[in-house]
Formats: sequence, structure tokens, C-alpha cells
Amino acid sequence: MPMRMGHRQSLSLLLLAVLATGVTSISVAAGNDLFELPLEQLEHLVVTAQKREESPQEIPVSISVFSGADVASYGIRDTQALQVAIPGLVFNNTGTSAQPYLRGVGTRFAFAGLEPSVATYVDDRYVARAQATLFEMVDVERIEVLKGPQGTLYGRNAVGGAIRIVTRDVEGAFSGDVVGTLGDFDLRSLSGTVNVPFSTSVGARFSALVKDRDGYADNLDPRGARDLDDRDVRVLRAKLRWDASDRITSRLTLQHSRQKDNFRNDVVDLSPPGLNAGIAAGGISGREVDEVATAVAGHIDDEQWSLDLRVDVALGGFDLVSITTYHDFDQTTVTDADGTSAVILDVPAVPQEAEALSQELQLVSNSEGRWRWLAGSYFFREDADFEIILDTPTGLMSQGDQRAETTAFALFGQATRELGGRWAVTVGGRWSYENKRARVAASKLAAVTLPPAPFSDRASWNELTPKLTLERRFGTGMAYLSYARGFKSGGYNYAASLNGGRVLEPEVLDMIEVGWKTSWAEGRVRFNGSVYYYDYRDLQVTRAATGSGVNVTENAADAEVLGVDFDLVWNPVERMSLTVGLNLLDSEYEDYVATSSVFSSVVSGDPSEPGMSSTPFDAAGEDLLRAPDRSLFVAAEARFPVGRATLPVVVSYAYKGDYLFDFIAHPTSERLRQRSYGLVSARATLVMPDQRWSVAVWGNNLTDEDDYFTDIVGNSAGIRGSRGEPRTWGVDVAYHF
Amino acid sequence: MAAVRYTSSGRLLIAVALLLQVVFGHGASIDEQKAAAVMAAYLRHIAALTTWPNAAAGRASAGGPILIGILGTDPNGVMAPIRSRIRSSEELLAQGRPIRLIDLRLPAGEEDLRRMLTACGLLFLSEGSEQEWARISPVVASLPVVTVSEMAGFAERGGMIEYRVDLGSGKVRLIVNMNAMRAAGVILSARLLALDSVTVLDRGEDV
Repeated sequence: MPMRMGHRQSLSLLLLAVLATGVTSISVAAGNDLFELPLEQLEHLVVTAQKREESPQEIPVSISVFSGADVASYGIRDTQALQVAIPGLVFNNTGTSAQPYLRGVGTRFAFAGLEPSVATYVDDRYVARAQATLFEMVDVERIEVLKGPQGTLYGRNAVGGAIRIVTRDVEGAFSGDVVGTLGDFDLRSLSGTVNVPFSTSVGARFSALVKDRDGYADNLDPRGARDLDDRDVRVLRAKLRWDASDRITSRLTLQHSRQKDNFRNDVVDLSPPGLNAGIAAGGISGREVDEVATAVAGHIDDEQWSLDLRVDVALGGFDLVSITTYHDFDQTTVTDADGTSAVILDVPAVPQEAEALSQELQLVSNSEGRWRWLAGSYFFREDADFEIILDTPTGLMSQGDQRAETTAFALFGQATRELGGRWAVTVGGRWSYENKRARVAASKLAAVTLPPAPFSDRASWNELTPKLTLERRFGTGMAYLSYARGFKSGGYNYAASLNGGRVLEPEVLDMIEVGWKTSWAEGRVRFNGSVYYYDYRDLQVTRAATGSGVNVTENAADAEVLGVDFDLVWNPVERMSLTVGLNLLDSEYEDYVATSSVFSSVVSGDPSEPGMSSTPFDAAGEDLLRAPDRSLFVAAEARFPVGRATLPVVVSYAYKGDYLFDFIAHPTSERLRQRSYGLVSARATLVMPDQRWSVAVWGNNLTDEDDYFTDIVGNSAGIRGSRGEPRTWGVDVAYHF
Repeated sequence: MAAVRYTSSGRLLIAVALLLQVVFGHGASIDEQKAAAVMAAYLRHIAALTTWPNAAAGRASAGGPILIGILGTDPNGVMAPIRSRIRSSEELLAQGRPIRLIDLRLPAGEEDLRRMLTACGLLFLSEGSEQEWARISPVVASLPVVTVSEMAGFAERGGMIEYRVDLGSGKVRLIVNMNAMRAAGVILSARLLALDSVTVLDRGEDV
């Protein structure tokens, strides 16, 4: 069988998902089952010798997969834009701090010493820093979003799920593309890829992106940056693949990215009139959707390097996989925490650095017998440094320079047994050990450090997270019953000395899920779904600290989540398809006495008193924060012939029900709620007959929805927010060779 | 081809891989059964998504079978899943018509060859069928027969659809020679052509 280069293929997330959930693979050897597989799924099957890479349709886990083409069609430009296409995913941010919430599970503030509850991976590399997970899509093969705890594989901190961006691998033929984009807000983007096979066993792939865009909001304050929420980013990636033999495949990926802008940093006051401390101090704020007012003149300056090495070795009866990753992260960001031109809570600098190293080893059975198994180990080490500098009327202040050292180790294993009669059972487990040390030193940049430094503490945790899946296949698909436990380690606030110096304990989530994946009408209809229940304990929730304007993260009591996911793809006729995704969520806290920001005027009774303070708040029975009770995604695609060319047109609509950014203790704080909103996007692409040239016209947020925010925060100044993306449009011209 | 320069990291990688190679030696790695199953499934989709000119595709009446002619010994077993399916009680349908397989032996005379090939809607040439292809390619080029093969470089040598297992993705790719299809008067659905796994050759010249 002809192969341009060697045979070995990366162990994809699909494989891992399969292994993680114990899929019973379709009888590929017999092959008959594949005749019923729709064309669009058939093309995703991997046929190299790693046995368990299957179509997502064959995996008994709730997973959303988007191809590289979907990424363009649905306007998924960056990780945050994933929330458009994935019901149940809310992806907020505070400045550069990404805050993904999947099915209501997420963490708001995760600085050095703490991680998000939804794990982000770039290929095989876990990205620990939340501030490093808001990035552009460059040369993407597919995006996989695994919903629910990934207890066995992808187990580290994937209590709410995992997002994996799979970049395109080195291919066997010389190929590539160049895509140029022009759009409103002076958007200029150029991306390109060149795939070069040096020989039958050595090849490389080079990818690059240069993207510049003006800000979505003009700054009314001449002291500050000219505009906010602009874009200036560069990404370079080189992949080298070497098939040393038909048993050994090595991949080395080097990536560098640089960002210098104020992306998602357009902060405005959302307080009732007169109640923001900045306004009371004579400041102004943007009142139109394209205005901000801030004296902060700096910008985000982000530089990242990563180097990943993966080696796959086929041995007798099993494969050995070695994954080594290194990530160097250096970022300084700024923001205006009061949302006004007054210098009340300006943040002129948030310097942080992190260096992470991981080593994973896997042994994966590669036989087609009744047993399939996997065993592995994972080691992770990170040194992170973080500080927030506040510019206040009394001068520069800091909560200290915090250094956090994390050492994590895990052993995991899983086995799947075919039971006959189309039944299969999988048992897996992961034992995780985490050790963290936090040290807070006096700031070198600010004159005042509050609370007093130094502070030092160390803590460790361990947990066994099991997974059990029972699966039954039918003629039209399969159904499964799954139990999984997710574990996210404990950690530290910034500053670790806050909240009485209490260390955060791990959060643990037990999930029971019943799911189904079906295909009807010769594959023209695909209907998947799942019903799940979460028992969520000791969840880490960010709240306003009592008596101060800062926010701290602490262990809330417990919470419950009951939800339903539906996923329908329908091809009524050959040139049309309809995609519908729906998530219904019923979530609530149990016995959680939290605190909430309320306007000081409410507390004092003086209606003219500006600013906010915190007050105890009984959150029992409240919905989980950032957990809309319903969200929907609908996309319709039609392909029109234009002479010998084709014109695919995609129109999509994403809806999110209302949800809380923070608890609302008084009606004056109602703006802490994100009201329900819908976004309409469209893309039309003229693909020339030779398939080499294409021209696309696209538009996002076509109805110019302006009442949605990527962040809303209540602090001592008031309530501030950062608006979502306005209506945008552009033209892509692409050439493939 | 330009010489490849390796960085120090690249040299380290190569050294590690060489060591592993020495330790673990060689062995086959492609899952040929799986690749064959995928190729067979693609063949069914190709049959379902091809529009032949009138009176072609085996000259069958409406609802009659679509004939797939097979040339070569099929060492990789691409046709095995289809044979297995047809042997079972279940029909394998495309465009509502049953698929039938016929193992071809090339006749000596050109007219007989033309008549035999014309009876087929699709023609599958297995690996190692280079001699057969050299013989029939001048004849089949003008016939409304979709030619499919797993032979390397098939599309470059005038074939219509070439299966190729791609190194990077580990998936089966389809190389489609649009010129050959146009010359034969057969039309492949845009649904198939739009797949990420399909590469279209359309250079405005005979290939």
C-alpha cells in the first residue's frame, strides 16, 4: 500500500478519549460497519496501526469536534470564540485571564498557584496558566472539546472537561497555503503554511500568522492608550517529523508567539449613575458601545516559547509513547479595574512568568483482542511568578510578588474488555499527587505591599479518580453509561496570604452520564445526546473578600448539576446540512454562605456614597455562576454551484441564556448578570474549480448585539465590564498549493 | 533537493530516534485491514456520488446493479469488505442500486476490452496492477468508467481517483484527477470533492 513517508501516526485525542472511556471499537477488520458511516465521518478515520483512533461518533463520551474548515465557517478565530459553537461553554476573561466554564464548571481567577477547572491542551501539551490559554487558531487540524471530568487520561485539572487544539501534522506531500484577510477596524491578517517532505522519512511543516487590528473602542482619555481591544499578534511554528523506521515516529514542535495589544481589555463602568467611585472622583467612562475612558497607557506584552517532543515506538503487542513538553511564558498586562478615567483602581502592570516542563509515558496495547489497555505516568513541574500592581490615589500598591512552585505526578491505567453481544466495559483510574509551594515577597515595583510580606506555605494532595463505562452498540449507533471522577488540585490565591492564608483544597466532581450516538437515514441524520449529573464538592469559587475590594477564591460548599446535551446533524439533501446543538442546565449551590459586592450606598443608606463593599450572601439554591440554563447553536450550510466553481454558504446562530458573573445581593447590582443574547454569523466562500483559489466574505455578530460582555466584575470602585466583539466583517483570499 | 540542516535539538532527536531504532528494530505498522475497510467504504460512496452519462454505468436499467470491475490480485484486501457484505444477505446499495463485483481478465482484442470495460461503472485496480493499467489506460480514458486505485501516482498517470495513506494525518486521502473525469464525462459530487481528505488535480492539461 503506497505511503509517501512512514506509517506511524500521532496518538490523537480521539484515541485518548477512546481509551479514557473504553470505547468498543467498530469491527474495522470486517469493515462492514464502515459502509454505514457518513462520508464526513469516514474521512476522519485514522488507518495507521494505532488501534483505537475512531470517529467521534464511536466514542462513548460527550465530545464536540470541529475541523479546520469548521473553525473558519463558524468564525472560531481564537479559543474564546469556541463558546459560540459549543452550547454549555461560557468562555469569559478578565484581561488576559481566560475563564472557560464548561457545563457550569470553571474557575474565575487562577493566578500563580492555581489552575483553571477546564484543561487546555495544544496537541499534547497541557497549558497550565490561564493567562496563556487565550490564543489564536493557527494551522489547526481540529479542535476537540471533551465535556465532563476526564478522570483517567487528561486527568490533570480537567474536572470540568478539556479543550484540545490539534495542530496539523507534517504531511507526505509538498503543500501549503496562504491566506490574506482584510476587514473592518483595519483588520489585516496574513497566515501561511508550508509542508516540506525532505525525504520519505523526514519532513517539516512551517506555519505563521501575523494579525493586526485597530481597537473596537476608542479611548476618550488622551493620557491612555489610543484604543482598546485591538490586536497585534505574531505566531510562528515549526514541526519536524522523522520516521526513523516504520516502528518509530518522532515529532518535534517549536512555537513562538508574541502579542502586543490590549485584546479584550476594553473596560467600562456598568454601575448605576453616580455610584462608581471613579465617576464620583471626577472621572468619565465610555457610554457608547465603542468608547472607553482610561488613563492606563500600557498594553499587554506577551511572549511564549514552547518545545514539544513526542516519540511513538511500536513494540510487540503495545506501543510506547513518550511526550515531553516545555513552555516558557512571559507576560505583562495592564487593565483599568474601575472602568473610568479616574486613577482609582488602575492596574499599570501585571508582570508574570512561568516555566513548565512535563514528561508523560504511555504504554498502549495495539492488538485487536478482547482486551485493550493503557498504562502511563505523568510528571509536571512549573515555576510561576506573579504580581499585580495597583495605581491608587495613594500611589502604587501591590499584594506582593508571589512565586508558586508546582510539582505534580500521576499514574494512570485503563482496560477495556469486550463482553460479547456488543457489550463492552472499561475500568480505569488515575492516581494524582500534587505539591505546591507559595511564597510572597515584598513588591519590588510598588512602595506599599498589602498584606504584609513575606509569606510562605506548602501543601500537597493526592486523589484516586476512577472511571467506569458500560457500552452497548446497536445497528444505528451506541449507548453508554459512564461514571467518572474529576479532580483539580488545591492551590493558592493571589496573594497566598489573603483569606487568612488559607490554602484552597482540591475540588472533586463525580459524574454519571447516560449518552447515545446514533446515525440514521444512511448517515444523513446524526443524533447524539447525553444526560448527566454532577456531584461537585469543595468547588473553588471566586468571591469578593469581606471588607475589601479584592476578590479571593475559596472552597464553596457543594453543588449539583443536572444537564442535557443534544447534537443533531441533518443532511436533508446532498448540498445542504443543518447542525443543531443544545445544552440545558440546572445547577445550584448547596449550603454556601458566600459574599457579594453591593454598592456602599445600600449598606450605609446614603444614596450618594460611591463604591462597593462586600456583604454576606446565602448562595444556597442559586445557579452556579456563569452557567446559563440553556444555550443553543444552529448552523445551516448550503453549497451552490457557480459554473464550475462552488459557493458554500454558512449561516450560524449562537444563543446563551442569562447567567451570573457574580452573586446579586441587591437590585442595584443587577448588572452583574449577563442577559441572554444571540449572535448571528455568516460566511460565503467562492471555491474556484481548481480548488486552489478561494475568496470568502464573512461577518460576525451581524445583528450588532451590544449587550453581551466577556467580563463583568464588581469591586471596591463599582461594577465594570468588557464588551464582547461588535459586528465585524472581512474578506479572506486563500491560495492552496 | 536542498540539503537539510539540523539544529542541535534536531540532532539530539535524531540520535535518540536512532538509538530507539537500534534497540527495537523494524516491523510493519500500517493497519492494512483498517485502511482497506476505509477504502472500500469510500468506494461505495464514490459509486453513490457519481453521475454517469446516459446509458453508462453498466448499461443497466434503472435500479439495475452498478458493476465494479476489479483488476489485480488485491493483495491488500480492499475489496474484501465489499465481497463479505455482498456474500451476506445484505445488499450493498448505491443510488438505490445494488453493487456487484466482477473480477476482470483482460481480453486480447481491443474491442472486447472496450466492451468489457464499458460494462463497468467503476474499475478498481489493486496495488501491483501497473501492467494492467498500461494496457487499458488508452482505452478507458474515453469511457464513462470511474477508475480507482491504490497504486502510487495513479492520478498522475491518468487515473481518476487515487487512494493514498497520508503520513501526517494517518488517514486515507483521495487524489482526484478532474481532467480525467471530464474527459470521460463522469461527474463526481461536490460533496465528496469538498472533503478535507480530497485533493483535486485540475491543471488544465492532461496528466
